[in-house]
Amino acid sequence: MRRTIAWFALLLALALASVAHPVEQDDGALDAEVARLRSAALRLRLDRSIRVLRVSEALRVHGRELCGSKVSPVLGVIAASEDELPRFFRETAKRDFGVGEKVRLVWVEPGYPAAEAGLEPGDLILEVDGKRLRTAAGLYSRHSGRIGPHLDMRVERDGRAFEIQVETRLGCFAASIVLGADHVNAWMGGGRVTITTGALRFVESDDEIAVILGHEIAHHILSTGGRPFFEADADYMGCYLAARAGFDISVAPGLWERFGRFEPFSLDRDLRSHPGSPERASSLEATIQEIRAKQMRGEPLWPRGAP
Amino acid sequence: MAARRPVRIPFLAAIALLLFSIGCAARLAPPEADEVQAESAREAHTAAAIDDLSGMIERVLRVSGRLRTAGARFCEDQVAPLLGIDIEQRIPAPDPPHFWDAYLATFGVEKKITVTVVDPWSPADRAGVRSGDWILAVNGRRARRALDVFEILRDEPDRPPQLKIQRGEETLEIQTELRPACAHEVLVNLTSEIITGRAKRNHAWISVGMIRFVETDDELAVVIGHELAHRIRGGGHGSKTELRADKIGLVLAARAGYDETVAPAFWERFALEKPWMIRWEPDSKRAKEPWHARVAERLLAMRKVLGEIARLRTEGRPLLVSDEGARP
Repeated sequence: MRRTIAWFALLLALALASVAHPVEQDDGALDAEVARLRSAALRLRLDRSIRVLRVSEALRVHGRELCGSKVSPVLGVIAASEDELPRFFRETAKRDFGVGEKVRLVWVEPGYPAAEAGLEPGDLILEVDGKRLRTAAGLYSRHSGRIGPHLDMRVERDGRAFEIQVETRLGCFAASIVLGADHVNAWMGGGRVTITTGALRFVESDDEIAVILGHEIAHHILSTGGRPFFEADADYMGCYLAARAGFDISVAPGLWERFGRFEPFSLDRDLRSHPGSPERASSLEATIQEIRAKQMRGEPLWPRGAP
Repeated sequence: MAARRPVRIPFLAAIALLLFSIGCAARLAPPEADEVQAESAREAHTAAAIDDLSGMIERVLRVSGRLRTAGARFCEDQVAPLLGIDIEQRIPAPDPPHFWDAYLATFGVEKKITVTVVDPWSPADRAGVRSGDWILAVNGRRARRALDVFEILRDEPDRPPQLKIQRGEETLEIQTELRPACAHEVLVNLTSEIITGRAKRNHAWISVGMIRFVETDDELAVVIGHELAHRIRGGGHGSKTELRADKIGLVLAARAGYDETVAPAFWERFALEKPWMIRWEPDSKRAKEPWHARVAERLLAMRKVLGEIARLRTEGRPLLVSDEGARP
């Protein structure tokens, strides 16, 4: 009986007006829609990367003294080459920013050595110190070993190649990149700090980004032979890094509080060495007091126990 | 004896190296956390997080309840009376996370099936079912596992649900009104930060990440409508099924009184966050096509469907779901 009624209802539905199922799309319209969405997505990713760059380069430059020998030149650029991009962005990056096989600058931040040397977005970086540059990562991850007072770059602009000298301004080693992922997370690995798009949606200010990136850079400073240090140490030094770069570190405990509420399973104390988020918030409160006191007395911002 | 000697030297060297690295490691002196303060903060944060999560569950119950009721006529033989409750059951685990323990304790969840959240104005709420009630039986049949409750209701879709409930020492028989709805319960995945949802065989779920990502109930209705639609005409996750699910989902949202026109802007926002879903291209990192991929194709189809819904509205004609390819 129910079946019959259902069939009857279906027939009635067909007889009456109904919303037809979509028919096949035409390919031209689909290609245009894909291009439009990918352009917007790439623009959003670039905007977020610029935001992270500004915070990260400031932390690196001002934290330089704390980083000992773990330093590299701070350029203030975002560069890309085709092979390093995820496949879904390659076509769009080529069309919108001319990113191809060679390393191309897509952003040059004012006030940093690359901009001061006259580099511009769109420039191709062919060589650094006489060595062919194959990847944008190669530009960020140069170790301090044999670095002179400036970097000699061979640059191509409008089909014309020329040499340019960029001042070597050393900063803490790790540059930062943005990864598309929903999780609120950041980590240190492969010589760079990675922060997720989920984390960037979660943060409420650049100060919070500074606290997160400072923590990750601190991990790198403190690591010996690849062995990571305790979270509490990285929190502590991360706060110093953020304060030295002029960020408002009073947001740090609130950030952890919000994260605890957001990701409640992080409230648990991890037996391996990770303090729970309330412990982190609590010791950060004390760190802030300590840093404030030093600022008031005009003392250098140097973490207790750092060499 | 002799065999042990070569082992000893590297062993001592390793000890020395370890001591050396500990010596280097113990450089920094970060302030200790105030344990008392941290413990009370943990309690406060736990309570706040439980509040947030139960608020999300209530919101999903409310929106999905409206959609399921509005969709009852399309769900054909997959109809069940709507209750409007979320239930949990404590499953013994060797080392449950502190937070999960606290969550269950807040609602007094034990081995018995326990009502955690009740959607206001739902049939269960109107009949007096409360958070913390234990459900012993449904329609005279004993329920052992939480999902049994919904299975039993599905077996007798035309009968007003009869719940046997234990509240403290009391045992109550509660009869709720019959509100026919699509049988698929929409659950909240409490541990997933990923912006996603799934249609399973007997239920659907959406993640905490998705609930946070939607900005309004209208957007939530579009997402839940889409997941429910997967169950209305078979599951499957090809491109055609996605388009069909979008279409039925939009009609469900419209029929339930939500503003279905928020859909394109919502999925566009989704696509910008997850650009690999704009058009599927095999990638070494993501070898399998993610669910809900091909957003560009879906957006084009959705705009057409919205145009048709608007046309039917202005003509004062009913919003129905036709079979594949059929036109008025």
